Amino acid sequence: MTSPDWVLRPPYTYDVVTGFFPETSPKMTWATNPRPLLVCGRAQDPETKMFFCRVAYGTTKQIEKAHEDDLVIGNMSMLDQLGLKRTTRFVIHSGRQMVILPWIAEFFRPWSGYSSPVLSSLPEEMQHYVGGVLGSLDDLPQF
Amino acid sequence: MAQRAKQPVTNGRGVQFPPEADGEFDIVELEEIAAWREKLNERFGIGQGKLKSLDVVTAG
Repeated sequence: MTSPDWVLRPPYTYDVVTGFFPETSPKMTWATNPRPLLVCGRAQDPETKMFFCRVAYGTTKQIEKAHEDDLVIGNMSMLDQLGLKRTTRFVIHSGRQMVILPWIAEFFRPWSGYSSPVLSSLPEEMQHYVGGVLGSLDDLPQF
Repeated sequence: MAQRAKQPVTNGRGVQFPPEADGEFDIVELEEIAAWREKLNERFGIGQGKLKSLDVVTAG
């Protein structure tokens, strides 16, 4: 099976992408319904040329219990802009909530109608906010 | 460098979302993330310093 073209073009940091998180789920829904993920850093293996992304996962649950540093998207206009339908919380308050994934089809999958797993990019002010939170973390997964 | 995705199609009244956007996405337990990360790191050599960062995240 050949790799899709998008594996050769990594997303940018602060892009919203769609992929599988975690690897397995008790409900086994992960394989058919990739979730929104926020790219919090990128790297490349100089030998294999494979790209890697540090990602924080998005959840539609327990929005009201969000950590004060999490990024919650609830404004309808912003949801539309980011390609999200439901209020979504990106769990960015701790590096322990993130993983580094290879930018390959095993872990990322476009939603229907999209040509790559990249849904959208955060607007600049949100990028500054997320950058500030990430910069304050001392437990980010290291490349 | 990144590939821009095709944007959702508008229907005149708003954005039309793909069926995947209707999904409910659960909370993931920390223990589950930690176990998965360990497997990923071992399989792909992550965290050994051999991957070259493509950008630097700085405090805003």
